[in-house]
Amino acid sequence: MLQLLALSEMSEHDLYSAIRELTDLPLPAAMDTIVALRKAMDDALHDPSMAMGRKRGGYARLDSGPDTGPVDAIERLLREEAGLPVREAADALLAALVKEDPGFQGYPPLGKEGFATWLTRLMRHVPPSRLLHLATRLRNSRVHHRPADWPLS
Amino acid sequence: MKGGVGKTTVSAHAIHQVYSRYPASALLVDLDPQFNLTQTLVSRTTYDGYLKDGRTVFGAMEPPAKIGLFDIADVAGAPADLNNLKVELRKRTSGGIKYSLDLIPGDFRLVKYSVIDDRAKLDRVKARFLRFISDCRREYGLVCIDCNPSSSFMTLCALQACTHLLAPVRPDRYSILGVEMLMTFVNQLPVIHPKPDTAILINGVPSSGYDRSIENELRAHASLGGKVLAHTLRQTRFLHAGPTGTHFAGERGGPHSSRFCSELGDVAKEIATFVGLTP
Repeated sequence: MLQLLALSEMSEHDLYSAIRELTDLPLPAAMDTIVALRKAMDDALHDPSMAMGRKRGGYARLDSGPDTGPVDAIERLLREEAGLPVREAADALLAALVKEDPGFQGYPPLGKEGFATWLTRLMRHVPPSRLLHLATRLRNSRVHHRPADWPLS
Repeated sequence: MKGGVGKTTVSAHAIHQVYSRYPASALLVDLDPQFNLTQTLVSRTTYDGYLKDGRTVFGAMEPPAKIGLFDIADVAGAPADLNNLKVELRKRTSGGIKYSLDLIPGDFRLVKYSVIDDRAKLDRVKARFLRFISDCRREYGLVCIDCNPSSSFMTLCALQACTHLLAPVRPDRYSILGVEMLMTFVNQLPVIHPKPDTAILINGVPSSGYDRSIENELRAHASLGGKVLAHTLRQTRFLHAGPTGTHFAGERGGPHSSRFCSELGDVAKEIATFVGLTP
């Protein structure tokens, strides 16, 4: 437990409060609280309305840390931030690929598998960096923001 | 063009992962007069021994000569000998084949090329360095040159020597404008020919509270976006230069180290693909 607290980024003041709270809490109450918190976190992770923001142009992730990988990033860009349903997201991405390279016919269409699985299949044909580039452009075309004072030229 | 974006960090730790995971020997060349790469990997005592023995990158630029600090010898001298300059950092055997990760230690004396303006002498230095790198390429599957963030003589040497350019950036406005300037510099300078293939690595992504607007702008850019590696490196204590110990980040143990190594491995895989080490 002390190692977990040491690894956290809590201030000294918060550490004092946390240790005092833990030592004051009776063991059954502490266990009940932990179980309730775990259930709440698990429910949040599996609740589509929490994990996938339905508002166009917005997203409702539990955290705003780095993506776990390119599949995660593309899902976030197209499904959460651009608010596209799975079929539309796949069609938009395929259309962008075909527009860049009209001669190539080998992109796998979206089947019955999930979006993430399809993206993984697509990455056997297209470098993930290129897919992320196209997905970001698609996302930016749908999400409007104030232009920077020093944009890239 | 921008300091503090992680060039040395990536040179040391990501390339170490490439060496560890793919069938190729790798050579790190510290071309920055501040030689932070060398300081990351080698203790001062050990480095002082290399300097005394002439085992630094300076030998790749000029032959041994009794000359002032801010002058260049008038003679070309014998070509630089890799075996006299390299130091072995790691070695391993895989499938009966030996692989090594070696270093050409840096040297503060390189700073003189920023103040000397004798074009003929600088051209001679550059020619010697380019020939040295060409010789190194025959011995190693990957040669990584860590150079300082300026449009200086050393930067030019590195850009003319390289086939691939890996540009780390921080997800901040100044950093991505810097990479745009770097690409303009590379694309418009006639002496850099052929132009190196370029990849951009986003480095220093915070673990929480991350504003993705800069990354989105970079990834969506018409010419730069497709060059940005899919994986990023997050901010982590594993990549900080500690006050004690010189080591590769991937060899540090401790909590969360396996997760960090996995992330670094993802970046290493993209780098390996980028430079042609993967089928």
